[in-house]
Amino acid sequence: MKNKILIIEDDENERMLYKEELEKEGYEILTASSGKEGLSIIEKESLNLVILDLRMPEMDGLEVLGKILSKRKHLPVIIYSSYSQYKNNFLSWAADAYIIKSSDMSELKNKIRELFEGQKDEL
Amino acid sequence: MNNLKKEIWMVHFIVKELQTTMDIDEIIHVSLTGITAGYFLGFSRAFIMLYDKEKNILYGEKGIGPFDQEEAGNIWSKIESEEMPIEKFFENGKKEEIKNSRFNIAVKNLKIDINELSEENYFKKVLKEKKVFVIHNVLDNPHIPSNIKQLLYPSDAIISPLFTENKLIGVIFADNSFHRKAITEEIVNLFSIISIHTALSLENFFKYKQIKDIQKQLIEKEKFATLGKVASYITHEVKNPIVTIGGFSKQILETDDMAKIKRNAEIIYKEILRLEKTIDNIINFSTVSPISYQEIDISTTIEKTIEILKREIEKKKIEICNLTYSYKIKCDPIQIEEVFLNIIQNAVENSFEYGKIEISSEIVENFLKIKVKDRGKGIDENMLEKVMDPFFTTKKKGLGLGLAISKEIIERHDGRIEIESKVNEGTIVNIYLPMEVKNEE
Repeated sequence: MKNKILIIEDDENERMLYKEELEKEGYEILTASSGKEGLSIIEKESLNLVILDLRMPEMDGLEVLGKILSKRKHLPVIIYSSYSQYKNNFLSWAADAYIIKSSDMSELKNKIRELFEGQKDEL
Repeated sequence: MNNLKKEIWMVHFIVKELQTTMDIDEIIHVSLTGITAGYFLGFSRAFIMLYDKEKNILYGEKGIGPFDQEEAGNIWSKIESEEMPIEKFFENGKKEEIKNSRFNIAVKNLKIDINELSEENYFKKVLKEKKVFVIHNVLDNPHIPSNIKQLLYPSDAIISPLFTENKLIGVIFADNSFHRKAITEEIVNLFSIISIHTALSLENFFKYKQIKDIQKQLIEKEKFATLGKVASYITHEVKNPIVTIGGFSKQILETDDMAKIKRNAEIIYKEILRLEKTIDNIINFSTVSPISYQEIDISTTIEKTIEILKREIEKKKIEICNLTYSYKIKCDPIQIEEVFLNIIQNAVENSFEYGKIEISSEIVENFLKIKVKDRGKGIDENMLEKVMDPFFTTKKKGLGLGLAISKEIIERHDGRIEIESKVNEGTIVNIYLPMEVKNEE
């Protein structure tokens, strides 16, 4: 079965780019344009990973991360943001990885692969 | 003039000069000129040293007078004899001459370490006891630092502390090296009064400087805060489109599918338009255009703005009541229209469907007050004080500059802008513009 990834990203074009690029890697991709929408998908779907943008209107990424932690403690989360300054934020330590956005997405792709391989070992 | 009258006049003159200056050089110049000028106390020479409390050292600051007998005979007698109206006395004319004089240069190099002086030394006693001392036959006196002695000739001298209630600032020293006049009780009193006023003026200067420094620091801090917001804005509005452009270009490089290439090119083009707009906004925000005053009718201006926003207003089925009177004020029409456009557009965006926006006017003191009231979603209390900061936004597609620009424009018109808001009840923006323009450029 394909690994299922949720991308929470408010920018439409970015959302589309990440979806396409990660589908190429062989994952099943769901998307949400806001924290709120993302959280309701997390409630319903059985997911393997969440990729989370930080600066979003209404509910920002760190708040979303806090809610994910309280609902699905074992769901891996990768913060994918243009901002590096939240790296030292207490909450962002709780994420499994913090990656700075880049048009070369190999760092993100490698990290995802690494996380899924680690999960396999645990099983 | 009898003596008392003359004294009062002299002191008054010098004190007035001291009080009207906020420059350390000027204060010291006035004080030393008053002490040495024939008009006033008439000492041969005088100098000021400033006290460094932490190091317990006196440093020479400035000296006025001839270096030796020869100079006394030539230059300084010439300066003294030049006919000069009294009110010009302290003007800068002689400053350069004094600055380059040998005596001033010698004073500037003076340094006295108080720790090394005996208890009897006048330069220690004057700081400790805070009173004026007359020193007779300076060259024979053992209680004067040797480097000071090198500058002196056989004569009497006077030394006074420069101090205020809470601060020891330095000392003034004056001697009669070249004319051997006696230092009378009268002169001692006047010298002491001038010292006190010099000290007060210097303390004021130091405090003023301190305040200026703090002010400068605050401005710097504020600049940095804004800089942080600018950086955050640039990250969001510049870095994100670049990531998208880069990502989709990379896909083009990896595919032969013409449809996909075309679609990606379209996305890239749109993101570049967004970048251009962002950069235009940054440029517009940082260039301050001057105000070009013209008379406008406020009611017509508001009507014009509503017309521009007609589509958005109709889309949300919002009722707009323009209750403004035809007041005529002078302002920059283009800038003020931009303000109303920003404010009314915000009201429309914040309104719910079928909402109502009221725009009214009244005169409050010398200001025309324009009130824009919506019954929309309102602004959270803790966001309210930030809404006018540049690059602050609560909107999905906003740049966070509308209110910041509006505030800047209104303030440059000598007006002010106030916001009240309650969540789910609505927002009121009050704009105050002066009815009469003070400095119309």
